[in-house]
Amino acid sequence: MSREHESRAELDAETEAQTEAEAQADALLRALPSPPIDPAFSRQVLRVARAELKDENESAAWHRTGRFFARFAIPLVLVSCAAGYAVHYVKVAGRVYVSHDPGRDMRDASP
Amino acid sequence: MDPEEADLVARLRRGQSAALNEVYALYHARLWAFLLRLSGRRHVAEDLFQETWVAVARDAASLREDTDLRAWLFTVARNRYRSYRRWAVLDIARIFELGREPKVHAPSPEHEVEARADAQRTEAALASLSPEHREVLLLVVGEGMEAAAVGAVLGLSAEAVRQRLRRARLELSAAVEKRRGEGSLHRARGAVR
Repeated sequence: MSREHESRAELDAETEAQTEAEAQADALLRALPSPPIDPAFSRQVLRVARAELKDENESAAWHRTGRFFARFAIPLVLVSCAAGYAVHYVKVAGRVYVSHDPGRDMRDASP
Repeated sequence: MDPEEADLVARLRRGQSAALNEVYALYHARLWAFLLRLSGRRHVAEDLFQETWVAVARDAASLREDTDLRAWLFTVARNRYRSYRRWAVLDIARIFELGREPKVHAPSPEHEVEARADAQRTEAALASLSPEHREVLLLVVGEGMEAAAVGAVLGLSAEAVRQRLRRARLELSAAVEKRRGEGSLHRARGAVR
């Protein structure tokens, strides 16, 4: 048998051994019995989880209210205030401009 | 997606307690086995198991409609374990826990049945693997999950999962063989004495 054939045969044997090892690992893992859980502990965990779910449900309404204020009400109030101030200052500026007498400065400057 | 599971997810999102009971009945034993074998210590597994279910209850409302429930549950459990390992680095008591090989029950005379011994060897071999190899084996072989779903849980591509799985299988097989060899050596020594 040539060297090439020998090395291929070795490679095939190695691959086969690896596949066998993988299958063996799977079989061993599947054969493991599922570990028992203490029923009292299991019941306690379920009770705690249900209590947590109940708390979450109850706090959900508060969360919604909080979200409403944080995302909608407070920004709306801030924008309204800013807009109100802007309008107010524009009006004041307008009044100042209208009440301003351009000839007065000239008169004040003359001797 | 399975319509029954979709319905379960929808009811869970609405915060129905009965839905949580159903999910618990379906998955608690599997999550327990996963966490126990991943952590290797019963008291750690108990803490992680409880934290997992509390997190499930807390985050149920934020689930997406098309959530794969099983993958999500195992992701939550795995994240708890990863978090435990991260914090263990800062906790001197836990460092010693991590350094030790996870506990396996010592064989007693009445448990010398071959099947039992095989299971013990496998448990010990599994415990000696790295957490990354343990989790991929437990999810794919133990849970029968597809590589893509496991990839979603572990944050890896399906191809990376397949490669890691291959290495993990070979490592487990070698570890079991090694323990078999040690076992027969012990028996031979016992016979000589």
